[in-house]
Amino acid sequence: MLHVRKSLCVVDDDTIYQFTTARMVQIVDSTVDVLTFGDGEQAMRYIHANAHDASKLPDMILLDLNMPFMDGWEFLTAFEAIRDSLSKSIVIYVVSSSIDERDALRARSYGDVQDYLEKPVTTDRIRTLLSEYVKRPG
Amino acid sequence: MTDADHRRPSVLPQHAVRLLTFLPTVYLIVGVVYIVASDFILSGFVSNGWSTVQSIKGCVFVGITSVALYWITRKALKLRGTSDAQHRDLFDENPVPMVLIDSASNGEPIIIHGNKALETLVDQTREQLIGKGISALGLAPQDVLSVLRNGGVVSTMTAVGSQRIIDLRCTPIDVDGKQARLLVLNDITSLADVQRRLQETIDALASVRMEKARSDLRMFVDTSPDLMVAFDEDRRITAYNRRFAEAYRSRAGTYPEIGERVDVSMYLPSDVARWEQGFSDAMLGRASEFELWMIDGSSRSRVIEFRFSPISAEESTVGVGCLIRDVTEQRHAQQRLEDYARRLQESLERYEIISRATHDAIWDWTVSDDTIVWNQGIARLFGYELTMTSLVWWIERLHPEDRDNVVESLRRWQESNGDEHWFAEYRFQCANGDYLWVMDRGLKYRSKDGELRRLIGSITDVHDIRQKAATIEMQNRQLREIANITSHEIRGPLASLLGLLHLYDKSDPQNPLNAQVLDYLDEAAHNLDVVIHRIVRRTFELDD
Repeated sequence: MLHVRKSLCVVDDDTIYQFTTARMVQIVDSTVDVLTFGDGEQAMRYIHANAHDASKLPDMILLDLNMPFMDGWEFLTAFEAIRDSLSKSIVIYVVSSSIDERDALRARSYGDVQDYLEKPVTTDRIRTLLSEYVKRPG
Repeated sequence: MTDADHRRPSVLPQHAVRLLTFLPTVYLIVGVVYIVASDFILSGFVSNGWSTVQSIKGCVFVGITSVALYWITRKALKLRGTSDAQHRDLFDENPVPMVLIDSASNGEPIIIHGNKALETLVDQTREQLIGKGISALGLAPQDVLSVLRNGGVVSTMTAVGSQRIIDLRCTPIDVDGKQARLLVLNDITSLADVQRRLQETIDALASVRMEKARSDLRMFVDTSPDLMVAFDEDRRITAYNRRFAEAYRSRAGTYPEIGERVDVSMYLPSDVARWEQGFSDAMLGRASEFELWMIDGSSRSRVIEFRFSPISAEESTVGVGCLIRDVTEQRHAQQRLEDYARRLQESLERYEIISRATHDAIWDWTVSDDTIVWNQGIARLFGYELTMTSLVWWIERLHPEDRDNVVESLRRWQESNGDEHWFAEYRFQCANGDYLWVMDRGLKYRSKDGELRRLIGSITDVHDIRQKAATIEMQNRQLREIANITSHEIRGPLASLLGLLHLYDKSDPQNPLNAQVLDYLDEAAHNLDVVIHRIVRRTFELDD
């Protein structure tokens, strides 16, 4: 059985968050690759370019809401449009510093969003996410 | 030369007639003597028979021309005689009586001649009259002298057994070199008689009318609801109307008698004094009036008005007319009217005080004639010194951005049957050109039959309120922004700090990861400080 490396994508303009998340993932599971993008447009461009290459598409996206150029909401709308054309399914978690309940409700209204997470994300939470991910058929 | 001189007839005098008769003979003698004498003198210088022939020829010429002159003169005199006869006939046969009088003397004028009509008028022959004084005609000499001076006068005379009315006219005339006057006597007796009868007819008609007027006046007086009575100076009754008689009888039991003295004992002493004063004033020519209270037969108090007026005859007061009237209902109505006016005045004062207190501009739009009446608020709020405008005036001062909506809203309200109240907020232009935000509230005023008569409302200045509301709205936006900053932006670096602290390896401070964590901690702390400064800055803007 061929071992396929799992990958996780962090879409956030906060470089500190990118750093902490990548480090936590490495601590929990060093076999997971971490992709980082500073805004939604960069991430969408990457996904669109690799839509038919499942090995390059991430398995999970941790998506921030407030970003320059293309924010989280615009990314979700654009993702909905190309989702069916992707060669693999991608789980999206919205991760935001906002504690506004309306943001959480709105995020969960998107069918592609698995859950809404408030920052900061801890190592334990990363571990839980990855364990749930590992259980998924791959 | 006067007009009378122009009217004088051209009559040739007798001595002139005689001179004209002898004129050809004189011409013949003078001519023959001149020719013979001159030829004789000339014959002394020229001695031949030719001078004799010349003399004969000259005398023949003078003789022929003398005959011709005689013939012409005769013709002229004959014509003159015919003209005189015609003048005499015109004078004699004229139907208007005329008489020539000698006015040269200072005494009574003497009759020189008269025509046939004069004989008929005075029933005397001319022979009987000529040489007599003018009084022989039956005319007054002073009337004749007056007509000689003034030219025309109406006189009377007795003629043909009756009194005649004569219109005398006088014209100066020259009779055989004497100054005379032609007196024309127009008998206008018949004309004067017609005038007299006409005047009698007019007088009779006036008399009938006067009697009718008296009758109408009597009826008016008798049917009057007021009591009327007249007194002489001794306070004796001289006349009264039916209403007075009935009132008198209800009190005294009998009808009043003419000549009876008035009894004022029924009145209170104070009222008697006023009655006496009123009567005395009227006797002095001054009208007066007063009121007194009386109790009628049904024990109800009544207000009775007395009016005294002087009765004058030949510029002196001979009595007093008294008009007595029950004015109870009038006084009650007057009292009600005064109460109503007082309440209305109080209401108006309250309205003005309230409108001053509220600073509102009150408007009253009468739909039928399209006029809006404003109170003083229109001046206080907007600076317009006026009280009445049209609807168009109001529309023209609405802000262009609000105009269409407000006018449409007003139109819908006016045409609606159910909605009695109207409300609108808009900007209205002041006299100085500035716009004020106002709140306008209207109410429909209908007549008893439901017809829309007036729309009444008030305009309140809400400019400051609107400004404050705008400020509050802006502050709300800023507060929301601060809340957003607090919710999102401050939690960003805070979450980073928490995440970094979570990543810090406390068990092994020498772990190389910790150095990176510390660098990012420093950056996160700096980011947090930036956010906090932004919040403080926005908070200060909120205070401003």
